[in-house]
Amino acid sequence: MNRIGVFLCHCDLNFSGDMDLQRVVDGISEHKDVAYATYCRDMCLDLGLESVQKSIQEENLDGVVLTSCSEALHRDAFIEAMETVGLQPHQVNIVDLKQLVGWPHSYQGEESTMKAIDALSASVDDLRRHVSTSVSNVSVVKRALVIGGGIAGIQASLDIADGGYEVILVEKTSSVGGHMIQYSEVFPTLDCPQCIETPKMVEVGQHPNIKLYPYSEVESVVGEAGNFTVTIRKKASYVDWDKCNGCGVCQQKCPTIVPSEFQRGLPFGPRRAIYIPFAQAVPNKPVLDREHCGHFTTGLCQVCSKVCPREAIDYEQVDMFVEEKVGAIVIATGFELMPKSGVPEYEQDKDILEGIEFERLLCPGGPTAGEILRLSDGKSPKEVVFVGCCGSRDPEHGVPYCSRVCCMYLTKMALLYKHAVHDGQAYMCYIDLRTTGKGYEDFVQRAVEEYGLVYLRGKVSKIFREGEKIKVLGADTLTGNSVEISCDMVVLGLAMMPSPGIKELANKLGVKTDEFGFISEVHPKLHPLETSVPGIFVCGTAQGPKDIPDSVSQGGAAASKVLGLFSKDELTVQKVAVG
Amino acid sequence: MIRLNIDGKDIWAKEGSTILEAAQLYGIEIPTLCHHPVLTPYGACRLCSVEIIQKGRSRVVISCLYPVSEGLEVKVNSERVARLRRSILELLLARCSKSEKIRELAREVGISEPRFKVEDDDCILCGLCVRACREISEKKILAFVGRGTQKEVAAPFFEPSPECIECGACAYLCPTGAIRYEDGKLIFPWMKKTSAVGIT
Repeated sequence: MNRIGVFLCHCDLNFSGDMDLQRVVDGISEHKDVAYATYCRDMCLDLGLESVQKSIQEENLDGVVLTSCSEALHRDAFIEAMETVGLQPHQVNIVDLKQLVGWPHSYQGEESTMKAIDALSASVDDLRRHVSTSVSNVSVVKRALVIGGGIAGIQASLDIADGGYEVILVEKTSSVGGHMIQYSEVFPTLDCPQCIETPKMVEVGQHPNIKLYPYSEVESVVGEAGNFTVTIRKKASYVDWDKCNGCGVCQQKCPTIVPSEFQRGLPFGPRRAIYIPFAQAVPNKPVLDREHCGHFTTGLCQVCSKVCPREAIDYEQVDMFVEEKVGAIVIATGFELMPKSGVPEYEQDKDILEGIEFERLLCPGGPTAGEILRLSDGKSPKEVVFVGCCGSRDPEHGVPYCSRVCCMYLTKMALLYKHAVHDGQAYMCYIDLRTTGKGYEDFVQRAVEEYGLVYLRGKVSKIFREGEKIKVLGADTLTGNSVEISCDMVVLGLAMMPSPGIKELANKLGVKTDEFGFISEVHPKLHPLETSVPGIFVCGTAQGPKDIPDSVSQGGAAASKVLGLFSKDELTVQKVAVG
Repeated sequence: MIRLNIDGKDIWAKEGSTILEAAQLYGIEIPTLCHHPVLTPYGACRLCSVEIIQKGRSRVVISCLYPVSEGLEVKVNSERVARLRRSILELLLARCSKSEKIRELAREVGISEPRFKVEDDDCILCGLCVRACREISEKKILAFVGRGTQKEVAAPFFEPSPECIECGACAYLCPTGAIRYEDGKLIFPWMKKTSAVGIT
């Protein structure tokens, strides 16, 4: 490259306000390889790019360095515009001066100017090493991998499958459904997930285009957009699911009792060592929990294998590995609640529950058939305090972000509690009440007006047991008084965190995560579903805290991204060769 | 729900549940050897004995069979219960001196050597195997035979039964390890007797 031109975008907001553009132009002009430098109109406008194109032709440039505010957003348009005047991708470099200079050195004229000149001259040096652009075509494998069978993953799978393409759905546990199926009723319409989610779960299980891998995990991923090779570990369930017909005799006869993960370990609804996690499970097949099973711990028990009418129990089963080729991947791995021990000021006590534990108590199909009981003594609690922002918006104990759903789900649980215990009193301690969804504010108003839910604005400082009662200390910042409530039960709205294991998965996929472990999107507003790896998308709470309507919308949106990718038979991949 | 009081603590239990079930659900410990949550309670080992007070009168009942009732007052560790439990453990230890589980329970109440003649039996006649055979495998092979000091667990005619599916539930649930697997075969205490006893 002999004639390199440098073009600076004159954006008031991002550049000319922060640095002396004329001095940058003068400075970079002194670079020995720069034949031409100028600043021009905003390059996000046609006018700006047109003036660049004109200068390239007039000055006979064979390489350009352009500045922009976001390379991720502008790259495609810039490359396309440069191609119309005969420049190949390897002849174009884009420098994101907003991130490099504009943001970190706002209004620091001299420093910004010098840093901009350095950045541009480094880019010019880099551009000179570019030799050629190689173009290759990747034929698109029109099958998608969806990781995670919660409501977001279910929605993404169904939409891709309905679009006519095959979907591989990998779910860590033995049934799809995710967290949603654990809930009693969901806000703001109070429908029960056992009614509204199960049709989708069944559809996933029966859809001719969906290949479900339950009790499986992604082991490794290689390849690129359009052509990934995925290795899936099918964990040993010790049950031959081809033979098993889901009759449930094994879990009925198994003599080993284990706290159930689905019931969040509540004492009321234990499972057996061989178990189907819940009644509506899809697929309705059991897995054997090797850690607790009498056969594996003592070698004495063989009850399940002997009573199984289909001889489906196989103690010798080992993990299996399957390889699948896919063209696109959707990450929908969901969330987990922050552990209760995260806030040490809140005592560990049987009557201080987290949200999902209370959901299981409320659930008519739950271990108490919807009866609200204290875990310490079985008493029906007459006063319950719902505590918001436990770990959320609290960088000292938990996470600085807002978990978005706690205000609403605590309100919902308070309302359902009143349905179950008519003479009970519910209190809700909150920092701010965030009811941003459709119909949410109405819901809260209803809880206050019809159900007498008492809202106390202020953070709870301490929760501890005092005899039979649980004492909650806090403040009501609206009246300026300190608040002390003696109640029977406390429900904590704990922070939403990415599901455990997300970092390992992100490493396997090569996608970036943020500091908390949520999968990073390319752009928070304009590319919320694309990850840092082309062809890999994210949806639901794997991307950040969100409620069910948003997770479902994102699942559908991720599916449309995948379908868009599958509308092409080949993807063009441009690679810049460096000399 | 039914309110009862165990050792000064009020608990609410489902109608029809036993004192032991209610206590276990709310973390109150009552020792037991013959209770298993998936099997019908039987009341063989008597270790779960508790003192109940009703209408001002006190008596000892076994908690694994005694149903809860409104206002029932239960003492799990009263002097009377402790004395009884000690005696039971002393007798059990004398019968099954080698069982680690019984030795441990006895140690907890401060007994290392029983005052009675030490025997070398494995079976405490808790009936878990009999109930497992009846309720889990539904084969009903194992049963108690004989009475009094002659009482033991056996299969018909003291012979291994062709009906046995070898599910191993009896061996797995046995608290003392009296039923074992050897070379893939279930070995019961009656099989160790040198001569065939015949029907007693």
